[in-house]
Amino acid sequence: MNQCNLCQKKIYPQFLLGDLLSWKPLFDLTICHKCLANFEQINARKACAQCGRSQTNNRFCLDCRRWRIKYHEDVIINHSLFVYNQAMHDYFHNFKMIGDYRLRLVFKQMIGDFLRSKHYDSYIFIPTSLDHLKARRFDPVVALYGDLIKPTVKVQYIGDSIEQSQKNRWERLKRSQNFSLSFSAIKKLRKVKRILLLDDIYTTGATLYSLRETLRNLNITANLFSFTLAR
Amino acid sequence: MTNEELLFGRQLLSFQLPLPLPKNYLSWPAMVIQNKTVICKRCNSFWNKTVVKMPDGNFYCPNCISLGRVTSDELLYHLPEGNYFEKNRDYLHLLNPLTSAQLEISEKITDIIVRQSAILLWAVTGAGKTEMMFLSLNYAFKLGMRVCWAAPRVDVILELAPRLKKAFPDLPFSVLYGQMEEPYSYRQFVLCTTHQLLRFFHAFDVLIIDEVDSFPYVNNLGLNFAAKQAVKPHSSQIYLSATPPDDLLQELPILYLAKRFHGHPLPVPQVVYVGNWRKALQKKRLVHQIKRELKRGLSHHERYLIFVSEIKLLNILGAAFQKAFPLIKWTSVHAQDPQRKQKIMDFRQKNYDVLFTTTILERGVTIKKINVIVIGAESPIFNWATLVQIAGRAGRDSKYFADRVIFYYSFYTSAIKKAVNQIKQLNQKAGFNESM
Repeated sequence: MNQCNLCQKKIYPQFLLGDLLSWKPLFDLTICHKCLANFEQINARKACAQCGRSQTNNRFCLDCRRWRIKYHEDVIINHSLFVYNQAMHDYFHNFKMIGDYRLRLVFKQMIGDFLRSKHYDSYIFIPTSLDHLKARRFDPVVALYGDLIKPTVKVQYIGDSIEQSQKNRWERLKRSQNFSLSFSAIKKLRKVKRILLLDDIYTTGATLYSLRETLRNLNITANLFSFTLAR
Repeated sequence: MTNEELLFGRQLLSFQLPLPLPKNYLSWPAMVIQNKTVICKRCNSFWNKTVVKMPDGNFYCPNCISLGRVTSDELLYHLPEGNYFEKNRDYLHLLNPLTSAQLEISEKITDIIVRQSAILLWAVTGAGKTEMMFLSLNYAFKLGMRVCWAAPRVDVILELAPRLKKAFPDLPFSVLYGQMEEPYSYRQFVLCTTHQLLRFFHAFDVLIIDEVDSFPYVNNLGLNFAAKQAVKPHSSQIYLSATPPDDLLQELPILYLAKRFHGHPLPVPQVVYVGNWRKALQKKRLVHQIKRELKRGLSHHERYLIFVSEIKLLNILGAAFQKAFPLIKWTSVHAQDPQRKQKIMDFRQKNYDVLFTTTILERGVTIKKINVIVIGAESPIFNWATLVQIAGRAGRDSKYFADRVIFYYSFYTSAIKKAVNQIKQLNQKAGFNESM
């Protein structure tokens, strides 16, 4: 019997007949249904088709229309699992700010389900600044996805170390973040067709689009997709 | 405030330290690494190495992480407490006259402080525990002792602070809790939540723990350890409770105070069987027993505090009540209610006649002339201690000591039985007859 990684209580799974008849493992839950009820899952049919923002239909949201004009429809298709609500805010506060490393396991099962369901040629983890890494002692993106998937190439972060969450929207969008790739990584990425960028939270998309800029400047023409836990 | 003062009697991690670091500090590793487990030296919790390992190979403690992460390569820094306070000063300013029973207990507690031992003060709800402590506290302050008053819940701390300020206006004291804004300062008297005790090491001569039986202190090994570690090796510990848990009763010598300060008995709960009250509620109806009682009381301008087990029930019950008594002003509160403080204030000022609540108002609340009702007393949330505390909300005023307490249940539980028996026993101990 598993333990819920959030409330540390035992999980008593509730099975449907379909679950029992399927070949899926039954006891791999990492969060109990009581805790999960606090989080709001995003339904793909009721979310922006580009950035995965939860809304009433699946048309492009206002922000995405702006991105589409700016980048001539060559954009990143994002998929997110959860809405960034109060519960998600608290989760990331405990995980990233306070530094409870155990919390990486809370959504492991759901993230794993998604990553197994789709295939990409190449995976890139969005890097954190070295200052944060020193204070936290772990990279939250690697902590979330590292057990499930190995990044194909490594990207280095060479921008400033002010928290994204400390800036307002204008500051985020104005400043281009700086990423650098090794020569062999560039060579590898030029050959592939579908790249998945993995990050923890999608807020304005500024981080992802600045990496897109870096990649396009290096003549990497692959289709870009992204996956984040929260939107 | 010098940097030394910030470290007296405390145990801090490197990033919490005042800089520059004072001389002669003591330090020890924050975690002990064993074969398969690691032990946190701050909260004494054991962890399997594989669970708490971080990518850089160090370990951390998830148990006390909210006070700053303890990792295995960290040290805890400490300076021994030296009691650098003014002695022989009388801080006590204002004291309501105490009853003879209260004075007697107060003297005994002073004795405990002098002899440096531990005791459990079992005083019924509304006995005037806090006022009783003032004389003994004043005595401790005169001796230059460092005193801590800790409680598991922030609400209790925030309600105590102004009362203590009133009684000891010239005594500087610090109030510590999770979301406080003021920085820490070195004071003779500390009022804090039990979590904050984790940051102290051999600091206090007197430690008072209020409401020992309440969450999260009770059955929390980390916090119990913190309380032991926060006091000096020779010190006195005083535990206050109206509903002490059985293990504490066996562990410690007990002081009883079975009489309320106004000298009247505790209201004994009536227990009334109501059938399937949930089913009736779904049809937006109140069960007739409850309705009759409310009708009787409200027509006499009595007010009601109604406890339920779940937040969900508040709205359903409110709707049913609205339908039955459209002219009565009512409201409801629960822990996540943003207007919680305001609503309770309004209720105190008689802007509402009926207040529906969850167990958040179970302790530390004093409202004059109030009838208390529990609907669905069979719920596992209402254990016997909770029920005794809830019943203790009634009859706290010397003029209106005979308020009604009614538990409505759809099946009888041992908790209801124990709570009622407990209240009867306490009344008997206080010298009242069963018939009263």
